[in-house]
Amino acid sequence: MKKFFALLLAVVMVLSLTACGGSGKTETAPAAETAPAAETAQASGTAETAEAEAWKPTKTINIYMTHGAGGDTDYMGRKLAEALEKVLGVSVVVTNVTGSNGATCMQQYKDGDTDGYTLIATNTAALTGNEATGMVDFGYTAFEPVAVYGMQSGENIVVPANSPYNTLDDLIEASKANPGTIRYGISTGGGVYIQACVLTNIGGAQFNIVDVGDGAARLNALLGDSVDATSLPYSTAAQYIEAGQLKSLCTCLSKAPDLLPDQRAASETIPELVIDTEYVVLAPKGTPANIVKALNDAILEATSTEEWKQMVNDYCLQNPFVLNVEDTIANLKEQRDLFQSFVPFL
Amino acid sequence: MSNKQYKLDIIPGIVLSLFAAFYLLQVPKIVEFKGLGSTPLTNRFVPYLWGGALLLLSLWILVRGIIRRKKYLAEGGRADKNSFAEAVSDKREVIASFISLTIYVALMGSVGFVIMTLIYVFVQILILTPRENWKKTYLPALITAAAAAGILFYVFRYLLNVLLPVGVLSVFGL
Amino acid sequence: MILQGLSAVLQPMTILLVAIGVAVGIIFGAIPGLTATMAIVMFLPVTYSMTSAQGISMLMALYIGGISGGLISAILLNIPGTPSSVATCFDGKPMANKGEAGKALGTGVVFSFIGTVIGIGLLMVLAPVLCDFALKFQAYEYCALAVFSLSMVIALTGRDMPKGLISAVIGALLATVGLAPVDSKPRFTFGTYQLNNGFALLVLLIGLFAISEVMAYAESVRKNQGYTIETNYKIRGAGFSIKEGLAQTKNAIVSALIGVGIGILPGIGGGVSCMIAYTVSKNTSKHRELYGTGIMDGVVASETANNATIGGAMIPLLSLGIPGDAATAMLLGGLQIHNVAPGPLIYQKSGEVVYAIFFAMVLSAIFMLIFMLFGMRFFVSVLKIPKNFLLPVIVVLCGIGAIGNANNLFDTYSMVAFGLMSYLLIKSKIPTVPMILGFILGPTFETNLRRVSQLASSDPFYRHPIFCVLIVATVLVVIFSTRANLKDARRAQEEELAEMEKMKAAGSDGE
Repeated sequence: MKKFFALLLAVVMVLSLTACGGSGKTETAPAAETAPAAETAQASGTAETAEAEAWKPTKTINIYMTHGAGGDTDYMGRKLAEALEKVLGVSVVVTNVTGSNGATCMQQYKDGDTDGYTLIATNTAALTGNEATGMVDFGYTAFEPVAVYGMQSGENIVVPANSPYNTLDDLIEASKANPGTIRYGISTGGGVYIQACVLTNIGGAQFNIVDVGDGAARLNALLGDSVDATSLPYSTAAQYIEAGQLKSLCTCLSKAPDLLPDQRAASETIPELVIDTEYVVLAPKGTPANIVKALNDAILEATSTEEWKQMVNDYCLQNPFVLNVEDTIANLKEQRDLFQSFVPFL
Repeated sequence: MSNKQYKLDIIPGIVLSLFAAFYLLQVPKIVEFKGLGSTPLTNRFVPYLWGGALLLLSLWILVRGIIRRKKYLAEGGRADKNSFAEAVSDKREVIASFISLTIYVALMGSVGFVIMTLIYVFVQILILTPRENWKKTYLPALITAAAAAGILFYVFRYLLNVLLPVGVLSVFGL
Repeated sequence: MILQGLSAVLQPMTILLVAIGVAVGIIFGAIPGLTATMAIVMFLPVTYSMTSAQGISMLMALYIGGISGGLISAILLNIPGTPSSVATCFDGKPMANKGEAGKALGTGVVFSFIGTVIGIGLLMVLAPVLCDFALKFQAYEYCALAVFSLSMVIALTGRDMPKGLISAVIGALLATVGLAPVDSKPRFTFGTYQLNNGFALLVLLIGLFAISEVMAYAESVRKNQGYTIETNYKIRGAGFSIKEGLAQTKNAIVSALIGVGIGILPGIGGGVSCMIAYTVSKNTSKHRELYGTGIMDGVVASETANNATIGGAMIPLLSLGIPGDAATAMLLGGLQIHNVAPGPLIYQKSGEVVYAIFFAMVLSAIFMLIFMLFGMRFFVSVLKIPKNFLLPVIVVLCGIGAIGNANNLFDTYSMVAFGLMSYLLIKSKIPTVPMILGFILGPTFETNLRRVSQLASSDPFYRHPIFCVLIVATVLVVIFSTRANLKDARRAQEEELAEMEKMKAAGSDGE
């Protein structure tokens, strides 16, 4: 008995010793390595751009994906990783760290290693939306944005094909005529929620707002006559529109997707109703500017191929949409300002 | 009837009632949603429902236990006083298993998967082996532990891309 | 179109990928901590670069293999390999303890196959009709369905009803941790962002089954051989006779229909279908007292139902583009990436892919049957590995599963906490199985209850006949199962009294 406890104690002590040694090392080692690197990089980044652009990755780059496999954000991220591997000559590994509409992953890696080998891939609706709805207390400024590299095919406001409404105006006017009788399906807290808030508070619509859930669930509810109108990703609704079961009133993008130019935009009715969901790559805060620039260049190069254009045309119904670092930041700022202006009524 | 069964009602009854009370006290701290589409049935309603249900059910078994105890004592049974030390000693393998498991997951992040798995599997095998067989178990246990740590790390980290922590081995560029 | 689909699947490369997929799926399913969903998650990116027929066939193979593989560890180790095989433990493990491991495995494998085939059959023939039915299930109906399924807990608990209910309520309580349904406000997170995601079902299952199994063994270390090791593993054929198999016809058909029914309703899943099929089978059986002691019927009900759920879940996925659970959500992504858009036009637009999926499913089911029947002889040898070596490795695998679930170390802490909780509950004679139902159905209930409260103003309940029927059915189930439980409890009490009398008599003799 005593021997047993003695052994146990010994094991525990050995474990804790290794732990102390271990954690001590891991804590100090990267700090020691990165601090001077960051300093020199910043110095060189501002002083001599020629030297700065010489940053080249030499080992595996890890991209942490905020959304799960099977979704559009994941697919675009993996396609980008594939293209980047060819340009950079190192492996680019995508790992899904999911939960809370991407907030878990962003929280976990926003203060990650700043050596350029840790990147985060997400979409802008999650990045700015989570901040606007108050789920997290940080936005794009908690990161070093690397590049916006694509535009989603967007959300459309849809109704069943036999519905009397043909435009967004019809729908809003009808709701004003009979307040609280038109059931409008949303997913509370996400981009669709923001959109419903704009419809109500700026557009003056008086729907009976009903939470239904994600895109597939909203489709289910619309088909099952549990709601009268809702917003669906175009990719989900496309086939039903074609089959004559659903009718699209408008897209919530600022302008119709490049390959579907004939759609009306919601902003024609309500100028503030613009939800442009873009795919974006971020680096942890403090990643040196030269590394960000080098990565952005690599992304620009990787997405300039005919293959990429084909893929984006097929999958997003858009033309390639890739921005350099300055434009990326400007774009994110614009979107954040818009979303923040909704905060009072979210 | 139910000799000493009452203990299995009273202790869980007390613990779970306290837990339910604690849970119910946390409910008012939930931020209620006041935005678009909010109704009187808020995000506190169902927690109150479950918390209340748990409180009632645990009070039920608590009362049942007390009645059973009275009955047992009335029938001439003795309230036995099992010493705490004895109980701990009787369950020492279980306690040791939980301690080693806790240390395993607590240190996995900093020390790394490989080293912690190696140590944990070795220790856990010994815990699950009768004392008299320890001598002939050391070597097979060590081999099992090393194989499990190495193979699983390689397969899941590199082939299946699971983020198993590298920990201190990162100095070797793993 | 059918022939195109067939020829797309009958390429050597596709057949090979299906075989690999089934084998990998079985392994993931069989190892506690790794699930069918995880197999699909990990292999989905691999299929991005394949042709659509290859990629989708492989994903189907992983799905079918994964759901089927779970029975192996459920029977041999009493740890369900996937959430879908929870109910397989109830009778599978007692059978193995009686030395009938081979028979239990054979039963599980064959009826998994039968369940899969019935599911695929209904998928191919009745998809449009069943879809219309599935669309009738909206907030009201789901709310009532959750209540109805929760009432099954009473039937599952057995004689000690308050403790069974406590278990279910704890499950529902645990599920309230994290972002609230509907409005995403954090609840009971104590400011830790990791708790925002709540607890994963997988992690709870690991705690309830795997960790508690290790602790049960730890208790028996000094009590020489708490676990009798069976040495007789001879398996002839499928392990059971044709006559025994035919006797299960009704049970299998009912369970398969339950499985398909739950499969077509998005958001419920195999974990619930196996338990409900088990409960229904038990309550309609002539020998309900034998359930839990190791009879074929229990394994048949659970395994037929969970595999039939696959075919059921594919129905809304293909015809509506609505995934029923995490695994089918992944498949939906896989299809879209290969430019197959599930929905009403899928037959017109990608008919050959739909038929390719059907054939891939049939092919996967056949491979599954072959692999598992031949593999059985090897699987049982797991029992020959000394438990003191096997269990620690299983714990490590569970830890990997918990980490891999969302690539987050935090889940391993929950795993240990749930292990401790489960150990204490078992010591208090509180059953842990109802907790799983509470954990899965609690959020379904809450989400839809709150949606109903939003809808009520413009859409009153009497417009929903299914809702009314389910509520009435719930009341009936509660009354009848409570009565049955009380009867069981009384009988048990009488038996106990009789035993005590006997003991007293024997004791006075001895003294």
